[in-house]
Parts: sequence; structure tokens; C-alpha cells
Amino acid sequence: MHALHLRIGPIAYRIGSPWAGPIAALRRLYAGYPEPEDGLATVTARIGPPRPWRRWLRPQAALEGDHVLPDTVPMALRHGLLALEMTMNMQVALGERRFLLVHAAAVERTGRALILPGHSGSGKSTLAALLGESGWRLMADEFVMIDTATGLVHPFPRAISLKNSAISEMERRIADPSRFGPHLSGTPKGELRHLRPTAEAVGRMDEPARPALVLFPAYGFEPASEGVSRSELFARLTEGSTNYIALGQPGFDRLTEIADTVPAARFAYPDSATGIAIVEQFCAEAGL
Amino acid sequence: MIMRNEEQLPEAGPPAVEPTGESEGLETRRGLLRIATLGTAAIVTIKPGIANAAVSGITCSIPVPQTSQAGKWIKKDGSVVNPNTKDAYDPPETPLAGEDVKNSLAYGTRYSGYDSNATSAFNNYIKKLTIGKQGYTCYASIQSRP
Amino acid sequence: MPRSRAAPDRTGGLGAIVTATIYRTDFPGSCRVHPIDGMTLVFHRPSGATHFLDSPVPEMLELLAETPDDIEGLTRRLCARLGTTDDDEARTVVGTRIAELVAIGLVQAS
Repeated sequence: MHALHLRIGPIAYRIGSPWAGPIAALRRLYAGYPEPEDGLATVTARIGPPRPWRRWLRPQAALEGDHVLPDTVPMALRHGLLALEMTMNMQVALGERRFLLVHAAAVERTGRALILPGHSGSGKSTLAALLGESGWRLMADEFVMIDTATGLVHPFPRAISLKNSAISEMERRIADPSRFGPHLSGTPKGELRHLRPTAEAVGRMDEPARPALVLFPAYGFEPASEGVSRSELFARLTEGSTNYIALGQPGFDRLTEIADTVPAARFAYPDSATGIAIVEQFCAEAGL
Repeated sequence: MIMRNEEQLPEAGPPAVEPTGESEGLETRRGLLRIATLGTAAIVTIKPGIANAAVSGITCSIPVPQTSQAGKWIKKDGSVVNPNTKDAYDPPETPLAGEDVKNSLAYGTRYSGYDSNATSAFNNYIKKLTIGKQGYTCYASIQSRP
Repeated sequence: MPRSRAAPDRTGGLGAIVTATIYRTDFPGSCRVHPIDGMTLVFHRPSGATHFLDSPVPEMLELLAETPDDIEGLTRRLCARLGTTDDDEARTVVGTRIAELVAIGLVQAS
């Protein structure tokens, strides 16, 4: 078993694979990230062959670790890096109990966090990546972690998943090729390339921020925007949370507080430049 | 650029979260206990998809029927019956892909190689899945994806 | 304590005394209640579930919390509170909403 120990924000991972290739690729992608404190990893994420012979014969990587989801289809070994990233997500999604998880990206400026919820295809990852290269600090691409006791967003700066046209867009913007993972094609998500956050984002992974604005992006439409009411904000944040139910009353209290106090809006945009401009306009109005 | 503020009326979201309105005039009160109101939900329970974010991007599949019931056929109503039963259909050998099930349920597309009756039978089987059965997690995650 | 009602029998006259179901609730003591956009958000600790409630459901729960009641009595009090007509239609609506509340565990039938 090949292993990698990695700390990303509050999550101390030990990551394993019987194949060397995916672990080596993951190590390069997360170059510069710290090891778990005192060497203690608390989350195990692994890939493995779904049947013993699948280690060598048309090898497949099933997602494994502390938590397993039934019915998942294993991935081809050539997408092993993606499989590792997915099981790293899955372990946190299914196991995290200290922080409320919301499926969203987040960036920070002046101590305040902009949260961008959405599923794949909404464009949140691309917007977060672009903002992260223009004066904002990336806090999260996949999961926003909220401390129910304080209401602060804690960074979880994983590699950003760039899909399809976003890949070339970021390749043009970023001079340092070592920040990119390999180009993966034919994945369940299409063309994919991972991007390591800036050194600043990695270095500041222990600095939380106060949520100040929630914006729901919808990519691929003519520019438009409208406010989102408190009740809708509450409903959408809980709907996008993998552990809201498990956290019980503290989760309810914190999300009602956020719904009551954090302004929210949704916007549609046809391309990244317009999207960023709309985001900056909202931020100016919200004092970010 | 619209930002939500104290006075702004709530947006029309999905009907279930649309409020009855800030005014408590006679009209609203009179209407409250009329049968016509039964068409709208007065109780909406928050149900985060149990696996929606966790399986984001992970492909899943649904075997029809359970692998322990291999060889059985599926009746129109989704129940599992012996092969060659009247009005029953021979299901696929390999599990149905989550994406295909999602599209079939949402848009009525048929499974490759099957007509609409067979597709409907398989979908009825899937809709009857309960926690613990193979395919349930996949089905649950499909329902909560856009 | 169960309340009895005289109910008409098939001949139209007064027949046997029938005890109507009394409904009770652990609301609001067992809950976290949060008004939002004219609705009521409720976290119900015993079930761990979260619900959006719209009028007249929160009012029904408040009335049952004050005094457990049957459909008829609850409808009467609810209509008095809302200033609406206490008629068959109102009773039907209350009956339907009560069934929904029982289904999610916010109200118990005894």
C-alpha cells in the first residue's frame, strides 16, 4: 500500500492506494501542504480494486475509506487521481461532525467570506479559481465548513476541479505549470484538470473568516440577478449540506442565524468575465 | 443590482417556500380555512438528499432487480416475479447507469434496447426501493440532483 | 381527559355517545421555533427533523399546546382566533392538516 499523509484545513488525512501512480500524482498536486499535526491522521481515504483481479486486469479503482457508499461504480485506474480526490470528498461528506458542511466554494477578502453554493455545472469552481487569482483568498472549492459555535467559515483549500473549457481559461491565467495536475479525459465529469490553490491560500489554511455574502451562480445564461429571501437561503443551504441532519439543533440555530443576517442573491452569467464583474458589483454593495 | 433587504418581499421560489404574504388582511384570513388551500403544502420538511453532495460526480448504478434475485423478471407495477410471467419484462443483465435512470425519470427516455412498457416497469421497480436495498442510495442521489 | 360528543345515528336521531379523538402536541417545548418570511421554521428535537410551517398550522399547534382538543373544538378555537367562519369546510381543512402533523410526529392522537 502506498500512502500519503496530508493536512488540509481541519482535516488530517491518511490516503492510500495499492497503485503507486495515483499517490505520486496526488503528492505532486498537494506539494507544500502540511503533514497532520503530531502525525495523527483521523480520516482515511483509499482507493482499491473492487475485486482482487482488478488490481492488474483492466484495473479499476473503487472508492474506499472510513465510509463507503453502496452502488458506486469504480473508476478506471487512469483516473486514479480523480478517484482519490472523490474519496477524499466522500469521507468528509459522510464523516464530518465538527463543522456544518455546505456544498459550495468560498473565497475571502478583508476577513470576510463570499460563499458560492452550487452543483457541478453552476460554475462555482471556475469563479472561485478566477477570484483566487485576482486578490481573493481561496478557502474552499467543494465544501464550506462552518463552525456551529462561532459561525465562522474554516478553510478547506482542496485542489480546484476545473472542467472542460475552464481548463484552458485557467491555463492561460496561471504561469506556474506545477500548480496543475495531469489532464484527465473521458472522466464521468468530462475533461478535468486539478489546480492547486495559491501558496497564500495554502499558507493561510488555518485562518477562518466571517460569512458576509452568499451568491448562487448559474453559468450559461444571459446576465440576470435577483435577491434570495431568508427562507429560500435557509432551504438551499440545508439542501446542499451533507451533515445538516446529523448535527441537529446547533446546525439549525447556526443556519437560521446565517439566513437572518447574511445577504444572498442569485445571478446568471454567460461567461467568466461577466460573472466576475457581477460578483464584484455585489461585493461592492455588500461592503466586501 | 438587487440585494435582499429588510423590506424586500420574498422571491417566488419553489411554491412550498413561498410565504402567504406580509399582509394579514381579512382576505388572507378568510381564505385560510377553505378547501382550496389544501392544494398547497402547509408543511414542508427539509430533506437534504442523503447522498447528494457526497456522490457529486460519482457515477452509480442500480441493479434491476437485486443481484440476489438474478433471473427474475419485473412486472408493470415494479414487483419482482418469476421469468415469463404475463405482463412482466426481462430486465438487463448489467445494472442501469444512474444517469440513464435520472434521464428516464425526468424526461421519459427509454433504456437502450427496451420499449416504453419495459422502461416503465423497471422505473416502477426502482421507485419501490427502500433503504438497505441495492440501488437505493443511487436512486436517492439521483432524485436530489438538478 | 376525553370529551364525549352526542353523535347522530343513521336514523337521524341522537344515538350512542361517541368519543372523538383528542390531539395533543409537544410543541413548542420540544422544538426550536423561528419565524421566517411569514412562515414558521421548526426544529423538532425528538425527531431531529426540520419543517417549514405555514398558516394555519403554527396557530393550530399553539392552540393544541394550550389545550389538547378534538377536530371540532380545535376548529372552533382556530376560527375564533383567525376571525373566519367555523363551518364544515374549515373542519375539513383542520382535519387534513392534523393528519399531516400526526404523520410527521408533531401531533399525537390519543
